[in-house]
Amino acid sequence: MVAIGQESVAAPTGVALRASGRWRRGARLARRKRLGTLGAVIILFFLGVAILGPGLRLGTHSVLPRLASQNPNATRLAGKLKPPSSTHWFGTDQLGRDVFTRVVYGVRPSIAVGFLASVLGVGLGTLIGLVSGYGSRWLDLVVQRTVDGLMSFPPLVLLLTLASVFGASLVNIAVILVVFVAPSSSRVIRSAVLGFRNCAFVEAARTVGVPGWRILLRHVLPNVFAPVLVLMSVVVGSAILVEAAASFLGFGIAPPNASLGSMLSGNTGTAMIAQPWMALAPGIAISLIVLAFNLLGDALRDVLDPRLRGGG
Amino acid sequence: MAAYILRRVLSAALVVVLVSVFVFLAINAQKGSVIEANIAGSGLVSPNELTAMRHELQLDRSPVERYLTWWHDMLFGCSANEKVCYGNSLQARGVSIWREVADALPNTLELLIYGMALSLFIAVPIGVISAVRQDSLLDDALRLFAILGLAVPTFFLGILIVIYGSRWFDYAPPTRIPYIWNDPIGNLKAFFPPALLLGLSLGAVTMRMTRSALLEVLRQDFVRTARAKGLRERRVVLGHAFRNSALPVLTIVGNQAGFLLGGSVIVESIFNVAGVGLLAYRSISNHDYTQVLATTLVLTIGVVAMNLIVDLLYATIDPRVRYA
Repeated sequence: MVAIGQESVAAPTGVALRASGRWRRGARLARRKRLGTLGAVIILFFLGVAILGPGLRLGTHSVLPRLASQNPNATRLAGKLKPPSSTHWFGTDQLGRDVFTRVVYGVRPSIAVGFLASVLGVGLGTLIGLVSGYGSRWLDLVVQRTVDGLMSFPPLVLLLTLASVFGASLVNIAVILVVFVAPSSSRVIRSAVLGFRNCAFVEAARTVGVPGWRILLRHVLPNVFAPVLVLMSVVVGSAILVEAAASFLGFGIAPPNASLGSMLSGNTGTAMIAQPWMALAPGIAISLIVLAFNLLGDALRDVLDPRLRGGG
Repeated sequence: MAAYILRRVLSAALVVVLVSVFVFLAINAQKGSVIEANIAGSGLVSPNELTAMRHELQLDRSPVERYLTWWHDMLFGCSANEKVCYGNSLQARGVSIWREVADALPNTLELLIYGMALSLFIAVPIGVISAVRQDSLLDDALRLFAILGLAVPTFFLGILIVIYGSRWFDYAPPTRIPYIWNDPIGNLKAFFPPALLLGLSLGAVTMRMTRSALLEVLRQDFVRTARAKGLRERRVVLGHAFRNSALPVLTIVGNQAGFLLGGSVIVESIFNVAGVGLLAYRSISNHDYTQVLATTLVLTIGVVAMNLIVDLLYATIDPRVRYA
C-alpha cells in the first residue's frame, strides 16, 4: 500500500491526469491474482450468457434480443440423441431438444438462485452474527445455542421436506437455502465481530455515548465487510451446487423448463450412455460456474485477509 | 468431563425432539397424506373406502394426538387394541419402520466408511506433499485437482463414472447389493465406484484443509527448533508437524461423517445403494410420516453423536483442550 501511494505521488502530473490511481491499482491487482481474475472473467462470461442468451422481455416487448436461436423446449423425437453437429452444437437430448440452447437457458435460474440465496443468506447471517457478537453474553449464548440447533438438522430431510411442502420455484429454493446458509455464516461473522469488539475506536464510541446499533452499523460493520464479501462469493458456488442437486433429485425447478441440474437427472436413464454430451454440457457448465466463484472467493480472501488481521 | 458429556447428551435429546416436531409439522403441511400420495388419485377407490382407510390409519385424529401417540408407541410399544401400530410404516403396511431403517443402515454405514477411508487415503498424503512443496509446480497441480474436486458437482462425477464405466468397462450399477456377510467380494465390488466418487469429492475438501493446517504449523517455532536440532526433514514433518495439524482436519472429517450419515441421497440413487438417504427420500415423497420421523430421529442422533465423538477426540488428541 505504501509503495502504491509513493508511486502515485512520484508520477508526473501529466501521466496522473490521464489515468487515476484507482484504475492502475486495479490492473496491478488483477495481474497479481491471476486465478481470481480468471474467475471473475468466467463469471462475467456466464452472466452474459444468462442475460443475453434467452434475451430480456418486458411483456411482449423484447428489450434484449435472444442470441440462442432455437427453442429449448421444442421436442423432436425423430432427431433424438444426436451427437454434436453444426446445427446442434451440443447434440440433442432424449426428446430431441437442442442441448446447447437448454444449457444457455438453464444458466439463468442457477445463477439467479445462487445469487439470491447467497445475498439473502449471508445478509441474514451477518445480521445475526453482528447482534450475537456484539450483544450481551446472555444474548450471545441464546443465539449461539439456536444456531447450533439449526445446524444439527439433517440437511437432506429439511431440504426435501420444505421443497415438497412449499413447492419448488426459484424463489422458494433460494429461501430454503437461506435456512442453511444463514447459521454457518453467522458463526463466521460473529467471530470477526468478537475480534473488533474491544478495539479502541469501538470503546471510544461507546464512551462518548453512541448507541449500540449505531456503533454496529458505522464502526463494526465496515470492518467486517471483508469476510462478508468472501463468504458471499464462496456461498454462491455452494448454493448453485445444492440447487443443482435438488433439481437432480426432482425437487428443483420443474421440467420442462431447462435447469442445469435436472438435465443431469437420473431418470433419463440409459440415454446418457448413448449421447454423453447430454450430460457433459450441463455438468461442465455447472462446474465452471462454481469453479469461477470459488477462485474469485479465494482471491478475495487473499487480498482482504491480511488487512483484516491488522484491524483494531 | 462426565458432567460435560451429560450436558451434551441432554442438549442432544432436546435437539432431537425439536427436529422431530419440526419435521412432523412439515410433513403434515404437505398436501395430502400417504393415501393421497399413493392411490387416491387413481380414482379407483371410492370415497367411503378412503374414509375407512383414513380412520384405520388414524389419520383423522388431530396432529397433536398423532404426534404424541407416535412417541408413546415408540417408547412403550403399541397398545394391543390398536389396529395400526405406529411402529409400522404407513406406506408399507406391517413393516416396522425400525426394520426398514435397520435394513438400510448397514449400506449407508459401509458407504460412509469406505468413502471416508478412501478420501483420507487420497487427501492426506496429497495435502502433506502439497504443503511441503509449497508453490512448486506439483503443489499447483495438486491444488488445481482439489479446486476442481470442489467445483464439480457430486452427481455429475457420479454420472460420468456410470457413463464412461459403461462405455469403456461394461459397468452397470447392480440392482441389489448383497450384504457383506453374505457375499463379501460382491459387496466390495459393488461399493467400489460409489466409494471412489465419495473419496474424490470429499478428498478435495480434506486435502485443502490438510494443506493449510500443515502450512500454518510448519511456520511455527517448534518446527524450527526440530530442524535446528538436526532431525531429518521427514521426521520433522510427519512426526511433529503433522500431529499438530490434526485438529482442523478432524473437524472437517467429523463434519463429513455427520453429513454422510444423513445418507448421501445422490450417491445412493445413482448407484442403487439401498441406504438411509434413499429411504428418507422415498418416505418423504410418500408422505409417510411415521417412517420419516423414524429416519429423522436416527439421522439426527447420528449427527449429534458424531459431533460429540469429534469433541471428545479433540480432548484426547490435544491435552490443552479442557472441558468444564
